[in-house]
Amino acid sequence: MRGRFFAIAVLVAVPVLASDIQNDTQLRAMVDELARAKTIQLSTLEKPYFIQYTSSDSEQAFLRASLGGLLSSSRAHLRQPRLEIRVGDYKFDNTNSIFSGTPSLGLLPIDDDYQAIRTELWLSTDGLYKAALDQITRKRNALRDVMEPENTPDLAPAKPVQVIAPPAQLGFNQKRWETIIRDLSAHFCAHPDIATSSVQVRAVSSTYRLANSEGTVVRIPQEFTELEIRTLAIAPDGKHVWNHQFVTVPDPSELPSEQQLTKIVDGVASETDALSKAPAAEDYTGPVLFEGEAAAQLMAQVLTDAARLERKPVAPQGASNPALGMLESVWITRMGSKVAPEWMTIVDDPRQQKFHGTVLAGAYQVDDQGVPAQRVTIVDKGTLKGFLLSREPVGQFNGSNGHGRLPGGFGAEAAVPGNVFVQADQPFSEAKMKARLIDKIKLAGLKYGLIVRRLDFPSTANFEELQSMARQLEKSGYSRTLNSPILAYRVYPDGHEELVRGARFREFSARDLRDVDAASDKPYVLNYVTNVSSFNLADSGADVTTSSVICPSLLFESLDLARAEDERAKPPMVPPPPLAGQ
Amino acid sequence: MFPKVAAGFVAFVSIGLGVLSAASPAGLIDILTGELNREFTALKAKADPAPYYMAYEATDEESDSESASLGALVNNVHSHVRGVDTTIRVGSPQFDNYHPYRGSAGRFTNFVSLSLDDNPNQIRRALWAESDRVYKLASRRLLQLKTDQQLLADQADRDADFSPEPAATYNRLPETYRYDTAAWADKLRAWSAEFKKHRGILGSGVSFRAERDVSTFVNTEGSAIQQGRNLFRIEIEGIALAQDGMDLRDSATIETGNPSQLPPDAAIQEKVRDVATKLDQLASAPPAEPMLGPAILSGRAAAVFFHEIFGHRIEGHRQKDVSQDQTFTKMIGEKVLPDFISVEFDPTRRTYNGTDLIGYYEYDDEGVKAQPVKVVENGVLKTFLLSRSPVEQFLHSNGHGRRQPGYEVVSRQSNLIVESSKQVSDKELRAELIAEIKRQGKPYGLYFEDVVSGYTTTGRQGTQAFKVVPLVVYRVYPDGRPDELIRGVDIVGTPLASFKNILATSDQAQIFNGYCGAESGSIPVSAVSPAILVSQIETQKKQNSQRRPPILPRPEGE
Repeated sequence: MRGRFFAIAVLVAVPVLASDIQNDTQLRAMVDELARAKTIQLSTLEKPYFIQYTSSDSEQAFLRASLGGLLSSSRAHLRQPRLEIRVGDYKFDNTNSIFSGTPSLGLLPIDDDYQAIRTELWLSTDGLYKAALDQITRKRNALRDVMEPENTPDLAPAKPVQVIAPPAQLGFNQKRWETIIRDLSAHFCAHPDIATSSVQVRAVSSTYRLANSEGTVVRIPQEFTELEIRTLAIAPDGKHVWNHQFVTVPDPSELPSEQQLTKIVDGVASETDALSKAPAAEDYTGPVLFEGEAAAQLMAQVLTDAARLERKPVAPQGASNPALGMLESVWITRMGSKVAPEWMTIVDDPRQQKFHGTVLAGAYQVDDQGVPAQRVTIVDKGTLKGFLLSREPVGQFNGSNGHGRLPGGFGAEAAVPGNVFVQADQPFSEAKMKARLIDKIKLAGLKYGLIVRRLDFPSTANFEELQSMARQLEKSGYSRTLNSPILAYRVYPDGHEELVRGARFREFSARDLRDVDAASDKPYVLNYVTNVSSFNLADSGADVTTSSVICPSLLFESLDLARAEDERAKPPMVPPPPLAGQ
Repeated sequence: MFPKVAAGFVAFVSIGLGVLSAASPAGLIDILTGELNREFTALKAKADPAPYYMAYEATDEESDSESASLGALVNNVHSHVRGVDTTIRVGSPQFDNYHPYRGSAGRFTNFVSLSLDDNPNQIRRALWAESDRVYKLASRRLLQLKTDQQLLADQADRDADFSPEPAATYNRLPETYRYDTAAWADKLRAWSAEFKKHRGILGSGVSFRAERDVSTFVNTEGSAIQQGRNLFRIEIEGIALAQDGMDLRDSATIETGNPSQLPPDAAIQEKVRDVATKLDQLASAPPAEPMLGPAILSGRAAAVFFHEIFGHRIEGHRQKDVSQDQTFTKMIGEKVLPDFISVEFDPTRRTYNGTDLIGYYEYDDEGVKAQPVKVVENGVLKTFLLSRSPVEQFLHSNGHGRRQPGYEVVSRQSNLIVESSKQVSDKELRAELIAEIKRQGKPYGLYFEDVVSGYTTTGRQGTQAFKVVPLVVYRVYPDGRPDELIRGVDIVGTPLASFKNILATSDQAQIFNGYCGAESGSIPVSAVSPAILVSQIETQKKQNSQRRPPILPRPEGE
């Protein structure tokens, strides 16, 4: 984290010196080659109007263990470039059509070799410039047959900035962590009913460099470490139950102590044991209380879908347009309207480094397009006030608020939440929340209500589960839903609780936020790794970044849950092998 | 002369050193055997249909790879993985879940991670879960096959699905070499910097990969085999663009199982220079015209030619698969090549004239001992390459069941060795080529010096063709003019016709080491052949991408 704090200081106080660039071989090669690239022109065709070079200089460690045995321990150092060459102008360029896209490029050398880096950039620029000319022509042709084409610009303006922070360094003791995760994973040897289990750590330390033709020059650290514990057990009826916990921090030194991690592992193990013995859920309609972690997971998923806007690419008439399959934000037409209770305010503030002493993983100073992070009020006292935006204009929104943090579709950058704060004006104590839930079930004459304490987020669903969810989505006409609850409890009128397994939400989206009845006074901090897909799949292999959601427990008036309708797999033919003592 | 230990490498004895990954090899065999027997006993007692055979093959792969371009290191990756392939056969050897049906033989295995440190709890649990998954898939397919089979018209093919073979025990681990990644990085930097002098070459790289594999195989017949290999590979590659926009590439590789066999640094530097120089020459060479005429294929070119047009067609499983063209299925005992040519596959051969053959192994991936197989004697086809899947009168494996981890085993090639009883010196072979050019009244013939790869289609749906992609081809003129380098040639043709055209061979064999991809994944193979003179070869023009050269000049130094 030292790097991050330092980065703010630099941003506000010290102007970038020419020597900062001179002393950084990679940046110097980028800036020098960029200057030359501005002059590129193929015969009489148009020159680029915007060029951006970025590189993610990243050191990554990955470790995985199960039942006391090490399954993987790797380390790699790579420099992944990304180049943007745009022809046309800010109003109309080669991006945002189905012909747009950025091919994957070769790696930059990990040696600070000025000449070799420039040569790579030169060749990639040449290829991308030629592709851009082709893309803009195809895009123009596609629009020839359209009467009134949409006139949203293609790139929002941004003020040039210069930010130079010290490069990141991976302070990660591989051997030590091999021992720690081996030991942690061995705790599952005491739980023979858990069929499979694993503990893994991924530590990524990148230095992000950017230079563009508008004069922006950036060097910032981008780091995260994620520890992941997963289990899978088989219930007596053959159905699978699974459980997990993720710990995401910016720097490995911020991971919990071994003692705390042991507690988390033991918790996951005993919860899994309990799940495999729990009764199967039934269909349910009624009040649902999402406590701390589950409420933050719900908000993370719902806002990823609703607080970001996706642009539909231009496609020729009659061509199959991938945009048709895109689910747009349920808030797209709701600006200025009530989307949540009047007591609720939702703000994204990536500049906040900590919350009540907890480090926030979604903190950053400048986004991946070199735009300084900005505080965005998404919902103010129940009214929709804004969306998270990159430099990709969408509809009436033409101006980044510093949230462009992942490669998006069709040559654009995707907006990603930073630190999302969900605030309540009239909060209740946690005890009051449960009492309110019980009042509601009594009033409705229900046998029981539901408390959800953990969702499958980021999802660790296996292939069968994903298939089953896809079938459910198909049945509901591809409306949005929420990842399945992992820890869901029936709460009876007398207050006692009973864990159930296999419950699944029916339709669920940000629209349901209007039915939030109450929020607690205890915000939970959820740090997580995201690829901004509506179904955030852990280990999906896609580009990822980190976000935080800070959210209190939430009580919903009425939600629909269904029991999972999977075919039941036959239990294993052979009993599991005995586990030797740890 | 090669130095005994190449710079940067230190060989050390692998016994008793706790740091080694396979520190307790016996441990892994015991764990695998224990769980195998437990599963097999329980499944035989309870399951319907019951398995009659099970096997685990664990593969441990540790590798270091580095690459450099234009004098700068591009990556440096260390990887160590261990996983297991599970085989369960249900039904009977005559008819089981692997029975081929309409071109598919079933796919059951997954490469499932195993503990690198021989942790019995993790390994047993992983085997248990995976065996359950594979058993369920296997039994489902068998039931499906039994129904499907009744719906098919009676087939002539009544081959069994699995041959009986003796159990084997073997234990020999490969050497462990420790080497200095920093020293290798420096070498790659130095070698790759050669390309800086060749400004027309747009992309280039030199890479090094050191890999140590250990395979541990156990089956329910009592086999327990642990074996492995080291593979050191240097790859040199360059890409350029001709004036007319044709993509050009040249490459060279060096493979060995023993780092002391690597050529000295200066020789590798020389090889890089050769690749770069050849590429420069290719960029200014005239493009080829399609032609049908006589040619000499160098030993390496002929080796790939035989691998593609012959080797793939005698893989046993293709003879049983009705979706295959089955060129040779009914030709056992018949003449398929000129009578002066014999072909042997010999996986037991480690080297040829001092060069390592990477298609070498002790036991195949079904635990069958590797053995030399004479497939063609004096032009007559004698047998096929066989896994434990019997073909017609060939009821036993000849040790050619191979796979890449994560794939099902099929019969594959090993070290292909072409022998000839009609050998002449290179000089005489060239004289015969010129005589043939004159006889046919052609303006020139072709000399294929080197090839990069090839592919062949063996399915019934495609045309029965092959393609060999040459890197370096010369026009040979009958009037004594010097040979002329040309670019953009592909050899094309149909297999049976091509064999008839071989007139003679040279007396110098050359070796091609490479990776071969097919149904059971990518595996290391070798092919050895003398140069061959063919009366007719058909070439076509290589596709031209018509890429425009870079608009801006190459960036200059600081």
